[in-house]
Amino acid sequence: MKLLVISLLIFIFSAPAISKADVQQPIKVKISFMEALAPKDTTSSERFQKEYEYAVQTGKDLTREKLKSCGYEFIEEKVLYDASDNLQAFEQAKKSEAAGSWLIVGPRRSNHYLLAVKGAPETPSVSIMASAKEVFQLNSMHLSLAQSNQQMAKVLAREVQKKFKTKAKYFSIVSEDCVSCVDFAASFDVEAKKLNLKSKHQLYFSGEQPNIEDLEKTFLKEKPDFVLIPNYSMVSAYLMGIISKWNPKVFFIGGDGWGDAKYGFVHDSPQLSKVNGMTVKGMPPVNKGLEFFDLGKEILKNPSLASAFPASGSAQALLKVIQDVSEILCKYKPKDKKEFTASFKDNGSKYFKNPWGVSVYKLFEGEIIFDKTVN
Amino acid sequence: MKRSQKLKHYIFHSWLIAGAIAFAASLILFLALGFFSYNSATEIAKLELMNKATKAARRISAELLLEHRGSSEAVRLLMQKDYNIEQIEILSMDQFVNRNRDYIQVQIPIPNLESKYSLVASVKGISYYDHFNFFLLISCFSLIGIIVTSGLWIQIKYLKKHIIKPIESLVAISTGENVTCGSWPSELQEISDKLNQSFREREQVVYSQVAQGVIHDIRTLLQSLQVATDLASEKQSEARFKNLLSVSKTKLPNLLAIINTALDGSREIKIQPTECDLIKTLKNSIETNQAIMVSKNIKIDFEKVPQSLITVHDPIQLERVFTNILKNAVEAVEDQNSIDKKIKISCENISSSNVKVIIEDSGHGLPQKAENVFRLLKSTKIHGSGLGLLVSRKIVEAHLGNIKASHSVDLKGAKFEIEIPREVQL
Repeated sequence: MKLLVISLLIFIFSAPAISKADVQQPIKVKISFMEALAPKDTTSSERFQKEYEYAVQTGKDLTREKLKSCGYEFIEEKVLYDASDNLQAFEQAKKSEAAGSWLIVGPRRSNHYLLAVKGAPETPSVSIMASAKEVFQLNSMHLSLAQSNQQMAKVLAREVQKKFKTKAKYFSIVSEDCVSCVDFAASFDVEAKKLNLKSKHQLYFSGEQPNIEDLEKTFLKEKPDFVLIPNYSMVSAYLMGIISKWNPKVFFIGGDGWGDAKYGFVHDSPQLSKVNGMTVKGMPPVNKGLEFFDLGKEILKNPSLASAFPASGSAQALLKVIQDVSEILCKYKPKDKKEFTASFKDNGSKYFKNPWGVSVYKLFEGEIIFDKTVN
Repeated sequence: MKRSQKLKHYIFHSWLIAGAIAFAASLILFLALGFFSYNSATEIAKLELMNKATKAARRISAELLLEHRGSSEAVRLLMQKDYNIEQIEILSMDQFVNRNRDYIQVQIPIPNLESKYSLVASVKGISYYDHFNFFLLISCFSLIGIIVTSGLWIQIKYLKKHIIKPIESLVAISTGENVTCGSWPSELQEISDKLNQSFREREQVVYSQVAQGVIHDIRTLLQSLQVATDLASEKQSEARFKNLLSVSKTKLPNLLAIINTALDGSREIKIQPTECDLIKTLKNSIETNQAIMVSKNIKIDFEKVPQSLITVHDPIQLERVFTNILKNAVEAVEDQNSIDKKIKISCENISSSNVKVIIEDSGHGLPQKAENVFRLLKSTKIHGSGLGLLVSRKIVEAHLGNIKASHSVDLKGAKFEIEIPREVQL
């Protein structure tokens, strides 16, 4: 009897303590940040990696207290892989899903992101820049912060038409390996046709470069006014360097695959320091783009934090994603991944959307300079 | 001539054998290198193909997952072009690969779609002719040819230096010539010593036979002289008697000297060393030849000869040595037409323990192998028996010294060097 009384007393006094510990323990939300790095451009890749990691860390730091008060804590998993092996996006995403990630913040490139979605179809994902139409056709568990290619191509076609006015001729040189590039070029052709811009040659190639000899013959014969190269920085810069030798005055236009000046878009080639053109991106430079969302505004309030924040679109996008995730968590209070997935599926599109519109950038003597934002 | 032909035949045969071995070795090397090269190239091509196919398979997997190329045929053609592979086939699991021996093929499953597809990549196989080619054949033959020729050349040089030359020297030793063995192997040194010893023994035997013959002849002559003397003492005129007697008086000492020399040559010479003046011994021998030197107008020069040099030696025996050498010198010089008939005598203290007396002349010199003059029956004179210098050598060797014959650089004739210890310890 005596023993029973003691046991009951111990139970009565220890139960509230156990319950209190359960409440205080935050729910760990694992987020996989997945990105491809170009192994051939190590300098650029290393810089990007540092900025990427800085942006993620800043986002975590700024949301930590709020999340804690809501009972959550971010567990970060960084997955960086070789961009030349896009199948890794599929494999790494599969691994992350198996490891219990609640969310995959997916690769920027559209084809990589689409593969990641294939690899982790049951895990919500957000791409910070994927803009191919196939991305926007995915179900509501997979979203992108990018503007659609169609929208960007429309803005670009209008801006080009303003510059040349008459029936300007253009060439398209597009890498088939880049899903978004193909999509952007197709979208541009549709919009260009509406504005009476004449497509004289469309060269789709696979691998690192097209057949330059054939291209030169056609180029010199057709004498286009501008050339559409909606590829990634390395390939685009290489082609610009070659084509500008044939006609130094030719105008280049591109999509959001072009990097910006700080990413070393213009390499050491002296020829590239003379090229002129125009491109469109899903977001403005960081000092303009941070004004568009709460966490960005919070950074701008702190001058030292604002000056240290990476000056890249992907850094802004990462910050925006972290803000949106923390808001979903605090609003819908999911207890586990299953509940988070349901919340994301139903409400993610309200949060993970582009707040910036389309930004127009000028390529002036090798420098990419922000011009304006078009909503 | 006959021997030379045999050596040529031997060399020819060795060349034939070496040539056959070289031919076989070249062929083996050619085949071995050809197979090695062919197999290596095939393995490298397989590895390269495997590497490319692995990358292609990953990209194919990605393309098939993305489903944006239209068809797997478009993907297949794209990969063939991008990875520079002659043929890529994407097979579903129920399809089989047609093996082609002319091609190198690898088959790998398409990652993440292993249960559905596999990739077969083919490139043209390595040609045998690219590896078993004329250049390789010539290189193999040249290499082996150079090695074998060098080997033969070295072998011939080696044979000449280390086999033929020593054999020639051993043959010379067996005939009593003095040969420097140099850096011969110890086996050859032993053979050389045995041959030298054998020659000395044979020399002694031969000499005994010669001496016996000489003594026999002299005895016959003496008997005749005895008869003549007997006859002369009986009924001959005084003039005839005196004439016979004078002949006997002149010839008998000479005969006695010949007998002594012959006897000395046939036996071991015993010396009786005493402490006395070597220069006096030398001068005594000069005096013996003085009369004839004056009559033949032969000039004798002394160089570095001290007034006196006390050594322990047998003055009688050494005087015989000096007298014999001087007598030979006089006979060599007297035949010369040169006005400058000269003999030079010098003396050297070559060390605290040894002295050397050198006698040179301006005569006709010695034969090519000057050392042979000390051998039995090797006289330099037309009517010489060769015993004089042999006995001289024996006397000097009995003093534990040595005697050398060579060509005089100064006087262009013969040069004899007699080296003896200051004190003979018998």
